[in-house]
Amino acid sequence: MEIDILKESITEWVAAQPDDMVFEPKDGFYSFTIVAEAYQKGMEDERKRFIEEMRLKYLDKAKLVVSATNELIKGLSDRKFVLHKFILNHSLSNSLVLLTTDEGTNVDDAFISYVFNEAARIKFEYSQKGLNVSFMFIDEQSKLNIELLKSDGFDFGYSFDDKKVFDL
Amino acid sequence: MKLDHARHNRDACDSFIQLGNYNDWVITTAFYSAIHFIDHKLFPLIDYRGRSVSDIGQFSKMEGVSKHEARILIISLRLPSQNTNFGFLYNQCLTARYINYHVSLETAEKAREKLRLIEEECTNADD
Repeated sequence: MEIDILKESITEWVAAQPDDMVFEPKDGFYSFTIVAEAYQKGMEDERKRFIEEMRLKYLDKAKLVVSATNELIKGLSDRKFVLHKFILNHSLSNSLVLLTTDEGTNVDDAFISYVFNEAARIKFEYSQKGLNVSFMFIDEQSKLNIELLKSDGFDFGYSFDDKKVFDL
Repeated sequence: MKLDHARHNRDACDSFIQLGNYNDWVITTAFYSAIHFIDHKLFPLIDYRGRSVSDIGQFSKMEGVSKHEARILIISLRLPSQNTNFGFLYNQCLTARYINYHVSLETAEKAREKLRLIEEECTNADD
């Protein structure tokens, strides 16, 4: 049920993203796919439709991220590991998910042996669906450098504790 | 060559442990030692699509992802026993900057242990 809230929140967040965030170039370049599709579709007359298609892809990928994350957090929850925050850096080319955990969880061998096997399995499974997703884990008690996260492109936060989106 | 580099970085990791107070460098050198042990063990290979792959750079281009991401993928397919050890090291390296490099001693010691396990499996046929 909680994941439905996250999916809903992320859909609203994607809808509010300006076009230049959706088309944000990676390392100064747009992906080959984006350039090729733009060329193929022609110029002004198709521009609107093209932007709409890209936004839909962006949303579809965001939903896939939520689905991938859900697979991971379900297994963690079954094993009684507690997650606090979901912080996302999302683009058409790749997505980074940062999850915060209880203090000490990151060096707990039971956590390590489960989560990195599962994250690798999910990463491969979703790569076959065109999603390049990576998961990172940090203790909730660590003092996060929010400015650095923001400058790296993390711009969506969801609290599992409060069950709501929060501003980074 | 890769083994030399792996061992060089491993020795640097041990030096940082002995110096103390450089836990961020312990995890960094452990990770950069691990990647060379892993590459030594895995390459060259025939990948899951039947392609001949000489090194991680080529595999990363074929998959259209970074070398680090490509390595995670190939480990999960060809050396899954190291998913957890390598995943732990990669995670610590990725996240250290977001916690202003305040890496605990426990994390540093765990990183060194994970590197030992990676080295053991990746070199057991060589020695």
